[in-house]
Amino acid sequence: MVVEEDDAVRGTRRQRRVTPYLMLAPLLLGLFLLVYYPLFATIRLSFYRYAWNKPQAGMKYVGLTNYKRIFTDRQEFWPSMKNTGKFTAISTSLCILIGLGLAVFVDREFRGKTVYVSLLLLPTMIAPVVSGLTWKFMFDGLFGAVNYFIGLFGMEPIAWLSSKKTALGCVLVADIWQYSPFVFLVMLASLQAIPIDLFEAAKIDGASGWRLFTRLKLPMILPQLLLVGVIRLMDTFRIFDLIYLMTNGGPAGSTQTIGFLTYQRTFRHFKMGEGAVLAFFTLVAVLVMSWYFIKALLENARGLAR
Amino acid sequence: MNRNGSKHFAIRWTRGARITRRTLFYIVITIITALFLLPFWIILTTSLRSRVETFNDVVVLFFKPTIEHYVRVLAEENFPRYFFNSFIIASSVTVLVSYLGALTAFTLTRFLFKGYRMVAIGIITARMFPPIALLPAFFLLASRLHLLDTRAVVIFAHTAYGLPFIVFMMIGFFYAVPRDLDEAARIDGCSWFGVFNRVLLPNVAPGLAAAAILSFVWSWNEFLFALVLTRATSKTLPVTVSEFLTFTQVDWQGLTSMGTILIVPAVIITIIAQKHLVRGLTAGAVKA
Repeated sequence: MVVEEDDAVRGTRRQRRVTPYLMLAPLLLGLFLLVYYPLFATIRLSFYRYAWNKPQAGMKYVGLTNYKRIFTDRQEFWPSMKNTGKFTAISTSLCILIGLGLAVFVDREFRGKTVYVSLLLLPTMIAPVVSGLTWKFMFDGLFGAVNYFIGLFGMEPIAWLSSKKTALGCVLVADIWQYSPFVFLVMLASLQAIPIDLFEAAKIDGASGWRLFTRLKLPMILPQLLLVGVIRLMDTFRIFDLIYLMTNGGPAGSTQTIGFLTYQRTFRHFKMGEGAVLAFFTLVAVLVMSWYFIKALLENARGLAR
Repeated sequence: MNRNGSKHFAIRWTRGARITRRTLFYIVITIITALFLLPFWIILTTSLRSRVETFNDVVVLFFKPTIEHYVRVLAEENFPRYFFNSFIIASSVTVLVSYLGALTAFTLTRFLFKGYRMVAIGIITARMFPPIALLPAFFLLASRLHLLDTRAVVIFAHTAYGLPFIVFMMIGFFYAVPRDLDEAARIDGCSWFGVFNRVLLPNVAPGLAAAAILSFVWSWNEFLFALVLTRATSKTLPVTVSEFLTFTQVDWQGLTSMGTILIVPAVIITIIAQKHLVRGLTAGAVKA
């Protein structure tokens, strides 16, 4: 340990042993009560039948019935699984492509940079409620701005949100609009953190812009790129609010996602057990997708404490 | 042409090219920014124009503004209460998340203790839990404790779910502060809490600023917990905005003016604090 001089003093060592727990106590208490207790309660709930609008009926143990019901549900579960997969893949990759591209483009000195960066960050800082409803308005079939613009090119208006073909795409546009600036922010910060002398050396060696990017910048920002990629992956996989606000899962279930289905089963159909199965499933899926990443983060943090 | 002349010509040409390139850069970045800002323009103009005018022509550059919708929305009896709720919740969450996030990051970078691995995994995985997944049980817990529809339960929820991200953001800042600093303070007789409060916190101020901005904006905007955990008394603004969306008809004018009111604080904070945010995350990025 680093503080060897201190260890000569009696009691200091004990203090060193106790202090971290004292300091972590508020956070741990909060996490246990507000995150881990609900987690275990959810897992337990998934084996029971319980309707919270009829508490007098009580909780009834039903074994794996809820699981069977969800995983054999070809009407809603598997289609929404497909939607969620499609949504997550497209949104995450486009957010990263746009965010990273924009960050590389803006990562230079120019007049008015602060203003441009602030303006570009705005979509990610506003409430999802507002962005969801704004895009619902933009895609409105009667007087939406999108139809106005395609009208300029002589195209017929389209009922974007009530067509099975286009509804999911509309939600995707809203999601990408809101979150690619977040990727942009983190990527810009990482690019600016690269020590400048590294570039000088590379420039003297006569490296071109593209080579500079792939050989020097990209490897240096890779950890942050992965971090932001995993964050986007986790957040889009559980997409709920945009769906709730823009399409309500419709039309004909074409924008039904796992997150929305969880909400529906739990709070609209009052089937808490089935909702809990979906919740638990989401959790496992997200953990599996990000397991490698959790391990990497953990090693990093431990390395720092040593 | 002699050698000299051609050299002169070459320099002039590159300067011209540089100017063209810069102009091109500005044109491209302005178009991109305008595209990202277009939805803002649409809701702002919609909230400032009369109903009939909007429906005739939704995209305009110039228009005759009216504040009738704002007057209507702000005159809503409960508006002050909802605004106050949102403000109190977001401010409390900011203080709690920034301080506890920093404290935890400090602990994780300064001590190696029994159970370190468990604690770190516990915090990281808490960030990964989809809130919608825990909400049913959370809802039951809150209703059993008779905390439904209180500001406290929303504050607790936002704090617990906002903390993990801030902890991992702050770790980079604490790592960047040299150990000699806290050891010097320790030798001077400071307790560990004293070291943290008096020595470390001022040194990670940029990170703390970034953390505070992110947690305020996060809590101010949060919709899901607020929707499920509150009813009339402790409802927040995002929930109010969503209520303009009814089954029969959407009051777009009311919605856009309320939406504008909701995003103004976040927009102001972003513009004022953008430098802190980028610089904060830049410093945090150095760790990796």
